[in-house]
Amino acid sequence: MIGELPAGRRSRVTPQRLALLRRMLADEPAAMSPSAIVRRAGGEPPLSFAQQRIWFLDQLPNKPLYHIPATLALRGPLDIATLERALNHVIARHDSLRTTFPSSNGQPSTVIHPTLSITLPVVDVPSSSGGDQIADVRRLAGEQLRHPFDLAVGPLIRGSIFRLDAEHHVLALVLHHIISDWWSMEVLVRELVTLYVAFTSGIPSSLPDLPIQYGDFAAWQRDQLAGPALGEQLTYWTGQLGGSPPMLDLPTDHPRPRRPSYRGGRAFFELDASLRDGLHALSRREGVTLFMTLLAAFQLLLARYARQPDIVVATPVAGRHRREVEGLVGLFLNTLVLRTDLSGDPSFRDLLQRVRQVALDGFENQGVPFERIVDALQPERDLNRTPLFQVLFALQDAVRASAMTFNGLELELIPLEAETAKFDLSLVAFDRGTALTGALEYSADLYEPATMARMLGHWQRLLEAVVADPSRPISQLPWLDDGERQQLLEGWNATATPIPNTCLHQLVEAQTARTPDAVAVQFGTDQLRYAELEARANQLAHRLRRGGVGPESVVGVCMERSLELVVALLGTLKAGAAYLPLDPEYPAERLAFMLTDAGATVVLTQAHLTERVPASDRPVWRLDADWNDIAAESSHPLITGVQPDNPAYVIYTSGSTGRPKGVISTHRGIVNRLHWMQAEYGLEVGEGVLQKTPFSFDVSVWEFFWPLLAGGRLVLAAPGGHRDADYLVQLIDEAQVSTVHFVPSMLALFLEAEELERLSSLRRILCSGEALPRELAERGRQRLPQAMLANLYGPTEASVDVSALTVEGTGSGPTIPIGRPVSNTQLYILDASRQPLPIGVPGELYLGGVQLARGYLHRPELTAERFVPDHLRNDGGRLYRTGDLARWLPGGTVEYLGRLDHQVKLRGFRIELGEIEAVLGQHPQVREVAVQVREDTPGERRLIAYLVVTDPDAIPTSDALRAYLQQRLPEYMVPAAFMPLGAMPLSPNGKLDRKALPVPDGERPQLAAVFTPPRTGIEGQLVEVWQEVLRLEKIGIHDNFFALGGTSLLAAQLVTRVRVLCDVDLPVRQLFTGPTVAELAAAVERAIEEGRGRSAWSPLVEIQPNGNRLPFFCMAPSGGQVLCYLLLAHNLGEDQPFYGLQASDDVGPAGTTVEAMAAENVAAIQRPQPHGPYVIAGWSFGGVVAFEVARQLRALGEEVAFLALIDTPEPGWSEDVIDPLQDSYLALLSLFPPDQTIQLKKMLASGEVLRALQPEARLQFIRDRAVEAGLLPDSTSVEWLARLERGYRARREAAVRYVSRRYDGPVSLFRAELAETEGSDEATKPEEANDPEKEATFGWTAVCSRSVEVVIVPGSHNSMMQEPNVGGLADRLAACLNAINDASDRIAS
Amino acid sequence: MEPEDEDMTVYKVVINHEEQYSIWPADRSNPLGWNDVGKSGPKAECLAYIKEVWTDMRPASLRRAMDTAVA
Repeated sequence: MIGELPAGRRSRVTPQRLALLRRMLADEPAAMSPSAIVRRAGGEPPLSFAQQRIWFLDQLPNKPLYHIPATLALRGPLDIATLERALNHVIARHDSLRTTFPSSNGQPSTVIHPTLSITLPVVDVPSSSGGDQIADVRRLAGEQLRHPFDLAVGPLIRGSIFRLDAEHHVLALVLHHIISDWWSMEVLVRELVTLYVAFTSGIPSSLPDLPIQYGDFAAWQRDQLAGPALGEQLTYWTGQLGGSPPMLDLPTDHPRPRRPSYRGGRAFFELDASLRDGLHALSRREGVTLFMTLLAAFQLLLARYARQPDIVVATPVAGRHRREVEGLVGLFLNTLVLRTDLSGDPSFRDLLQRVRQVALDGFENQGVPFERIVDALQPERDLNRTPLFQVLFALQDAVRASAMTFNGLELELIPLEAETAKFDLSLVAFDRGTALTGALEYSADLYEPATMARMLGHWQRLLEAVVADPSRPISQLPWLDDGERQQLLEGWNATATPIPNTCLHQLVEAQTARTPDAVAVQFGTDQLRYAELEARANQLAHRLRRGGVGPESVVGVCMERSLELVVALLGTLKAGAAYLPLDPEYPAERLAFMLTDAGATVVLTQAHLTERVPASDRPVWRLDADWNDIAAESSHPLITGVQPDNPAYVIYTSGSTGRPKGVISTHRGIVNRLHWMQAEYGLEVGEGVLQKTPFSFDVSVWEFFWPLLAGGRLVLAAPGGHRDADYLVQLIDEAQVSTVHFVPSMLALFLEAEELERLSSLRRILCSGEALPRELAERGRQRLPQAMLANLYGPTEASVDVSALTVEGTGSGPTIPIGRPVSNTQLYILDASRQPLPIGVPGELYLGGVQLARGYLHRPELTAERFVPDHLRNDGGRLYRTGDLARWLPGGTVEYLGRLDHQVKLRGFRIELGEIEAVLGQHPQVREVAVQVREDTPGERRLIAYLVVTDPDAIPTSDALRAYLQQRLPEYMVPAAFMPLGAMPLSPNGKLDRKALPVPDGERPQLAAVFTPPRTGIEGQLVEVWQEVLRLEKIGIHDNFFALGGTSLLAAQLVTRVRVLCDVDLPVRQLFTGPTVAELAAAVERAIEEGRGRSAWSPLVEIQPNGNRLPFFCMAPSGGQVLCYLLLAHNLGEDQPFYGLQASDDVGPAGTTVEAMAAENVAAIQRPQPHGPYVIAGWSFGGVVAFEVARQLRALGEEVAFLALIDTPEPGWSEDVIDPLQDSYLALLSLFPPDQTIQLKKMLASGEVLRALQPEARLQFIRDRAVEAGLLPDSTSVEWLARLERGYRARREAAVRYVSRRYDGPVSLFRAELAETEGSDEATKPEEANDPEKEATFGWTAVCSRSVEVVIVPGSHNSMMQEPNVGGLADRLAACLNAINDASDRIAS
Repeated sequence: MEPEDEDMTVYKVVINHEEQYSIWPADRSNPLGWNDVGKSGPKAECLAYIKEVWTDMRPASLRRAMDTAVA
């Protein structure tokens, strides 16, 4: 690798080097290696390496244009025929121009056509009034340039002559790059002109013979590369570029598309004569070329933009360093990859020497074609990008023969631009003698013109700076102009605003004076008005003072959300003290640490939380139970002498070494923040603000106090409620909340809740805590269009938020920017030397202004490290370094880009991975640990802990590790999974290679609990849901949800699914208190018992409720639906109450049983009719269920007066074969009123079609046909049908498994007269027809004690339920029912 | 461009008019309003020094105001 050149080295230039240098300075070719290129005999030559690459790129569907133009303006009389003849003569001279490239089996070869000529069509370009002929010519030439070539067919050269008038023509030639380069074009033009002149003068060709042809070079190239000379050069390159130089991570305006469009743009520049001269002088003094100086400055520019010290830039070389090839038309262009190391902050002078070394070495080794280097290095290939480099730099002399005159003909080369970009960036400079001009060509996929113009400006300023003083370290070279600096440091930070010089509680006091009777706080049905809150808080303040509390004191508050909490916070402030939130859910050890560390004077709590307060000498007051004591105090405000610079609250944040640190936030900071908030968003009197963020997070501070200073209503969510989206929807609606905060992950969940349309009161949604993805913001605006959505950003160390942006709907980055600074606050984006960075370049975000915290409690060294002197405003103030990566966007907003270190944000929680690692590392069985946030499933971020254990024979269980951490860290910091490793992966320099940490596998993580499979239906269903939500297999009923990788978000999803599946009302909290399947199933069962149904789903369907007769309960057939009974009910008349018992479609993996279905039905039947005598019936499979229902009712001691089995065979008697095709078919049929099924049957008549389809496709087919026929609504999904089908199949299987037990009540079998002919349930009769009675009763006699009454009714199995047959069935049933009702009446009376 | 964990820079301890401490690279001139305390060395040493001496983290103006109030 290139290191710094010691000073002595500079003078030791070998003679060889010196000669090379001279030649390079004079830009002359040199002979390099001894063996000459000679003409070869025989066959078609191979392709050169460069040609192969271009041929390969031409095969890709998406490719840039590899066409090279030469456009000549010709003024004067032109002999077109002769020009054409001259051109074809040139073509005859060079094999390249007559070469095409056919291919076979994906391999190209060459064909050199002995004769090939082209014509030059003449295109008249009329001069139209107002039109610019030259512009027209450019356009036409451009079109010709873009016209594709066929490499296999050719010709690969074409041209036209555009005639503007008799003495003004433009010759436009285009060659494919596979046979040319810019040097070739010069050769071609030179020869063309020479021949034209000769021919028009009557002289034959005067051109010298060519020593070789391109094919000879290509063959020679291949030979050489196998040999020692070029072999050595190749070794140089593999050494220099091996180890994969990192991709240049340049910030872009737009994300890189998967397929580049190759659209390009150009930004032009001109460096004036004085700068040009200065650069030349500098180059001479330092013993380098202008090329090297410009390249060094360019690489420095790239290093600053990409924040990398290892910069690779390629440069094209003519490849004409051998005399033999100087005069050839052909592709000799080669690309040199120049890799410079800018680390160590060298002076520019020293950097020049590094670049010089790299360039000289590169030119010395240029014999190796670029493609060969790529082959040798085998870097990771992305076919859409050039390998090894993304940026190109070239310095070209002004084109030599750009204009000439001969024989009265003036000739001028017109540069023609292709609007494509092959690379991300190409900087091309021309030394025109009086100035250095050029262009930065860029990919329009990635960059905007303004950014490119800025980049050129920065490069220019760097050049100016190095000319002025090349001895400066490169980190100190300025590159912003004054305008830019001013805008970044002052313009965009002009946020000075007058702020009241008061304390937080005084703002509340002022509001109370204005609206004493308005509601201040709401909690459930309880509330406090402003005057009441004020009075109580004052009383508490007096009591606190009595207890020795005053300014600079800390009061611990260990409470849940409640009215008392608000009193506690406000009372503490009024006593002049700062409150310290102590979340009751935190582990005791952590609370104890915080209390001691903060030196709290007293702890305020609630009666039910007293055990959570760590034991100590401190007084502990229970604001609920002990209130009477406090109520004796004065309710007038207290004079404490508290000042804006005294602390208002102390909130602990994660510390990287294992101990959390307390941030001291002052009144001044938070008053500024709230004042800004009110000015920005204008909360009105009476508006409801939702308080749901746990008060250990500083977002809660504005939730509490913003409404209280503006006359709003503080609406407190129930403890734990902040995790439950459905609860929040309800609360927002009921309390008419207008303003709410969400961490983006929680917003995503909230947007999935039902009934968001109810929330008409919601006007403001404020997000902070995590990056806000653009598509989430868009979804938010769509689902809640009436609400304004804003994105806020800020660390606890700067009073909650320092910047904000209201989402407008414009913008294109992946995340919503964090916006502009708030009042009296400054945002700075600085490089590692703390110099301001220009727009678009990422750097560390530093914050200035009045919101900065005092520092970290009792941690002056940490404070001094993070709060640094402000060298930008230079007023003795401080800046806070956030450790966040960010950049300015053109409009003056800031875009957040991530962290610089190991702090992470997970669902809004700030976590130092180091803290978790430190604590976990203390576990005796853990030797090494690394904690990482992983997003292995998109959208699901989890903490994973990797550990190396001290004793491989005693690996601690995940449960044990979890428990260990739960005693020491808040729940959100406990990793979701623990992965034991043999050893930590290390990078070459011996440090932990975080990127190499493996993906956690989806198998059950090691757990201590014994795997127990589900025991009941509900447990089975729950296991299935858990497996889906957690993406794991094999979950046991005692496994802890969180140990398996569950997060609060997944918990919320899971509970929602369980609610729907089991139809119970279950709070999210349930999963936190009972996080195993077993406990959850028990909770579900309890909920079912208590009748806490979420919806009113019941099997019971009231088909016809009227009438005085005993209700007719009819069980659904295998389709699960009771629609098929409508006609029957109708025919039985309005005096016959008729109920259907439908089946549930939510069948779990264990399927169902006839007994379970019957039990559910019995429960449902007993609601309208608690006691017998019962009338029970069922058609087809419904009869089996009816049989079991009757049996169960009998077992309960109830009388079943009538059991009607309508064409139902006894399951053990018939041997049905389940035909999968029939299943879907029949399930569908049962959905519709019977008369419509005939139509459908006809449609589905092509059983062949169905049989030819895969099962999934069949349902789709059926759905589509049914929708077409208007039998199903368009919105019907295949999934719905699939559910139906699953249920159907489950019931069929249940029937097969069912074993009928003895029944001793009366049974009536209503048999269809006709056997079914079209493929449906064909009851197969047993071989031995020697039991006619069994046969007649479809096998029921075997299980019935009494004789089975058999009634024959019209129709077949299916048609018996339809008109006209159903009437007959109804009559027969009615006859039986009459008898029963009469008997029942007699009994009753 | 420099990796922070291997910061070999020499720093100095500085203090402002509010008697707040911080550190600054020794080879650069102090921002206005910040003065040398007289201690310099590797970062860890500077921070350890600050840990010893910066016992009252209140800004000086606040301290004075509070002292006056008490008096």
